[in-house]
Amino acid sequence: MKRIFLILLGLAEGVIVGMALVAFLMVLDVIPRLIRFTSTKSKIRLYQSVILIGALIGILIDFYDFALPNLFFLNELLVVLSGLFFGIFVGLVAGALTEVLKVLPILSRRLGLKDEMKLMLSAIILGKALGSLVYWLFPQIWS
Amino acid sequence: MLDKGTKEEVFLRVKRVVRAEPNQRLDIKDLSEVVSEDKLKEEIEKIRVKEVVKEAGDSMIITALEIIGAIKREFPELRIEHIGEADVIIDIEKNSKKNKHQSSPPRLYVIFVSLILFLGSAMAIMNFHADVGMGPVHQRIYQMIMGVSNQEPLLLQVPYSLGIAIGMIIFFNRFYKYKIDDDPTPLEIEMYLYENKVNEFSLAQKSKRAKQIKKGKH
Repeated sequence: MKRIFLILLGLAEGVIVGMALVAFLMVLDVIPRLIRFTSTKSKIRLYQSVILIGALIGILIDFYDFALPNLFFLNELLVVLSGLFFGIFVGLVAGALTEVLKVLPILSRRLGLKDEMKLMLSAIILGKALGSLVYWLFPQIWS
Repeated sequence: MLDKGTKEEVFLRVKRVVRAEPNQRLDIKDLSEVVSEDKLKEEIEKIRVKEVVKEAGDSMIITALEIIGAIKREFPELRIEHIGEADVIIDIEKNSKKNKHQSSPPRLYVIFVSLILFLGSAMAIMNFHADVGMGPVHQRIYQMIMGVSNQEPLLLQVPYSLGIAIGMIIFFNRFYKYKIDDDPTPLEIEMYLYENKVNEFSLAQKSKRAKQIKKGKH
């Protein structure tokens, strides 16, 4: 009886979290942005499946311990590439977050810096990259 | 003078908002687009409707009926077709205000604001990493791919940091002066929406006030 309840609980949790994940991606307008950027509107179905598979693989990595076999330099390359792609994704999400998108128009109007938006945006982008680097390169600061 | 007896037709397209200075004369030309026979059009456009009075303050309202009335005074027989807005909102700008907006901000101020944004976003991303526990996830992925555990998988994290910049540049479609393509950036769209909202709001307020002033007079 308890097992059935656990199964039900797990299923319910999964459904809610899955919906939340998709809703999160939808709300941020990241995917439409990428599709427009690459003009690949016809490949929407592919993107859907890729997101699904990505989430499933994430689950596998999370719950099971496994490691890739050692293949010369390929492992290093994969690490660098996956780091880069994680970063691009997080960058897209960070840009889409309201902190930037809703705040900048108001800020620039308030401060009378309407023509300096480009500069302000660049400052934010550089700040994000540098902040991230500092966070990883000097972990002793906050541990 | 034109023959006033014939069945001439005039189309008026009354504007929504007109910017004016104090004591400016408001002719039909300022308030509305006129379509008609050329000669008639010229005469109509010269008709004076009102002047911007001091008591009006920031704004006043001229109804389309007042405009039509002014035309009817000169050309009683004219058929007037009115399309467009029912009221014109006169947005009265004082000169000093205008100049303030046109001057460019001082360099030091811009640098100061940029610095705040720069440091602020750096702090924000650090907080984000700490908040979502990005470190352990990176260690996990590093271990999965490389087979060995590493407390500081910089091989993963440095490209990740650069990726953040790339991702944001893709999202905003620009970095400093360089635009990737001609699409409007999401920021430009957001800016446009925000400005429209502000304008609409101030307009609504101004028209409210102007209507009150009008009521008070009569």
